[in-house]
Amino acid sequence: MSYIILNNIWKKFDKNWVLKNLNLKIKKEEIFGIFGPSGCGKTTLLRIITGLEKPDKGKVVLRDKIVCNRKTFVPPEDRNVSLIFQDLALWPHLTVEEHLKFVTTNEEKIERILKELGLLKLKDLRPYQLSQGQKQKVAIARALVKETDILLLDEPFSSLDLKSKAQIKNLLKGLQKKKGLTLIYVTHDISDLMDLCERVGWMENGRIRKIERTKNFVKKFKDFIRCKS
Amino acid sequence: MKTSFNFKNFFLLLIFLFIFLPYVYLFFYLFFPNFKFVGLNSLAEYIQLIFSIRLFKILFRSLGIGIATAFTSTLVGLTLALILECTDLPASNLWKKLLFLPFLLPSYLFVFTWLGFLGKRGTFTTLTFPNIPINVYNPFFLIFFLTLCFFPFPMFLISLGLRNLNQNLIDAAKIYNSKKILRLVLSLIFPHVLVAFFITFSFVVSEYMVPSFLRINTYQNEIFIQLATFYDVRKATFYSLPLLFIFSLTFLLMYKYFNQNLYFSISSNFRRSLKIWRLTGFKKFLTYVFLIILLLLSIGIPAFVLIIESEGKFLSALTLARWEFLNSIALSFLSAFLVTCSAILILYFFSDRKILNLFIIFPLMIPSPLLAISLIVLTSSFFQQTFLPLLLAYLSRFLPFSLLISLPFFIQIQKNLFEAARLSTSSSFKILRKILFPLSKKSFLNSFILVFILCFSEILITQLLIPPGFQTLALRIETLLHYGNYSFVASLNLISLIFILILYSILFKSESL
Repeated sequence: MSYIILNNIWKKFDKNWVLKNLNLKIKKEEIFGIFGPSGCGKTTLLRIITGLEKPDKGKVVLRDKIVCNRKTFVPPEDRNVSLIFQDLALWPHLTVEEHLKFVTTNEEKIERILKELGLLKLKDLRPYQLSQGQKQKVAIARALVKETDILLLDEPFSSLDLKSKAQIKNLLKGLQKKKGLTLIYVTHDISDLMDLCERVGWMENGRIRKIERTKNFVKKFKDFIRCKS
Repeated sequence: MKTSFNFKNFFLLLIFLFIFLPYVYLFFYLFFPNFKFVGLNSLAEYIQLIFSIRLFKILFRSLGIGIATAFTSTLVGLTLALILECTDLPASNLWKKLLFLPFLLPSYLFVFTWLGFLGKRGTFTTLTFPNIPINVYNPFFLIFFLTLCFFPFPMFLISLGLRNLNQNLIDAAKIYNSKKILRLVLSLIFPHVLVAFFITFSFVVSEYMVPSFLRINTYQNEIFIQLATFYDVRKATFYSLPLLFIFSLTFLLMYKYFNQNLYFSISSNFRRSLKIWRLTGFKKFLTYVFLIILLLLSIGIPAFVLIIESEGKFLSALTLARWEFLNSIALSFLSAFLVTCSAILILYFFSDRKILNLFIIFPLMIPSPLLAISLIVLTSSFFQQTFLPLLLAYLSRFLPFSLLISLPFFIQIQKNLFEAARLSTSSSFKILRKILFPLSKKSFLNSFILVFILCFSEILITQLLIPPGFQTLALRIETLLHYGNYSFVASLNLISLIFILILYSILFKSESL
């Protein structure tokens, strides 16, 4: 049974079609990777799932409920979906704790999440006082404190060093299992896909070209690279 | 060993001398009173001179008016900035440019026209209650008139803050808690609101024409009287010290605050609408009503009164003041060129946000009387009968505006264009001539026009620092006002207004306003 369904999605900016007849189905508690070159529409796809962008045509279904079609449009705040932005979008004037307080007033939950992610000691610091890895954790904490089961990640590891990347990936895997999250992970780094995802969608020119199990995808992708070279 | 001429350090030294030295010098007086002719023999003498209940009353009244006006102007400016930058209001850029116009008009034009409208024989009084004229000679009307003069500046500055906001920060708020978006936006632009408040406060404390028209004695008028009426530089200098102290303290506190909030930057990209809120139905109607009322109050009524009061004497008024008009154009041209060149060099040499904030905020926070006195004191021995003090004062006063309007262009120019030039030639002048100035042509024109208009309307600094025998149009208008020649005043004001409008229409294409 699919948990997230995108059906015949079309989206254009100015005169350029960014998404063209995009179709995608993602199962519950799955970690799904979206892989593709820059400018192929990966970020737009995530923004359409969250409701930050409205498609020109098509249907979006979340948890068996239509959130977007010709007649219906559920705004982002009512979709209960979390997104970790590529630049993390941490509010520069708020401390770590205030970031979580922005989302919920439940102090217990805030403290629990801070403890889980090892941010308790950093709770009074602002983003510019944190390392890149710590900032990633804050963005994850903000996403988790929302009590959602759908988490979207838009190339969040692009600015991390290898060690921090491995740490955050392990953390995410653990949290996904523990909380039963459905994850959509957008990247153009093949190693991230191998470490995290069960299935991968190859995206090109605004369409999902192929969906494969990660192992098969990596094999085919290597062949593809070889052919190109 | 060959030592190369470091143009950057030389330029930094020049800017420091021109902008910061006068205030440092003024402070120097306080601690070394015997250093120069205006010095006092002891601190007791100074206290005796400055400590008077009357003077303190005036000081507190002026500060109160300053705070109240800064508050109302910032509130109006903030509301406008939110409407014009964060909603889907059609033609918001046009509205913004129209609403910025009152800031470019001389303040005496507002008070003259409003007195002509609400005064005893004013149009409004004649049409409504001729027997019960409205008493406009009170601090409330002073705050009202000054708000009409200054609200565009907070609007402009806060708009810059809103343009700087990363769209993702707002999108994140939409996902995580959309009810708190307004609070989030307000807290993100709070530093800009704070700067706008203090700079408007400084503008109000620099304003002497409007209070003197309304017969309200303010502290800046006391200083002005000492200088212009009694020619007592010594007393005026010491009267200005409390102002210097207040503004230096405020500036230091603000600088500390911004060092703790490193994300603050006054620089901005070109216009990019955030479109956080949609205006529908009644809200849209209310917004239009608010904008139209503001335009009517700040442009419509003054223009209407000027047309009525001028009695069609444009030609004779222009003939009477033709030399002053030409003087104003020549002086404004020279100043605008000097200020714009300095601003472009600053932007080329200093891309550091902190230094740019310093160059923008510090000169704007210094009240005009303080600026004039510091230059009078500094140049008293050598250059007093020349245009140098006046040009330096214009440079200090209007440089921030030039920087603000030029910044978006410079953010767009890629740094590596200059770096490539530096690798190709060792001559700084060649880089300036061949790369910097051609690339910044558009920015140069916009800044030049803006500074030209501001210099053209300036009156307080001009009156205090202008060499004997030279008069500008603004000064001539003031003289005619004192003689009660209202039709000529209205005609000349209308000519100024049309002249400013023509120049401003060139800026209409600019995206950085």
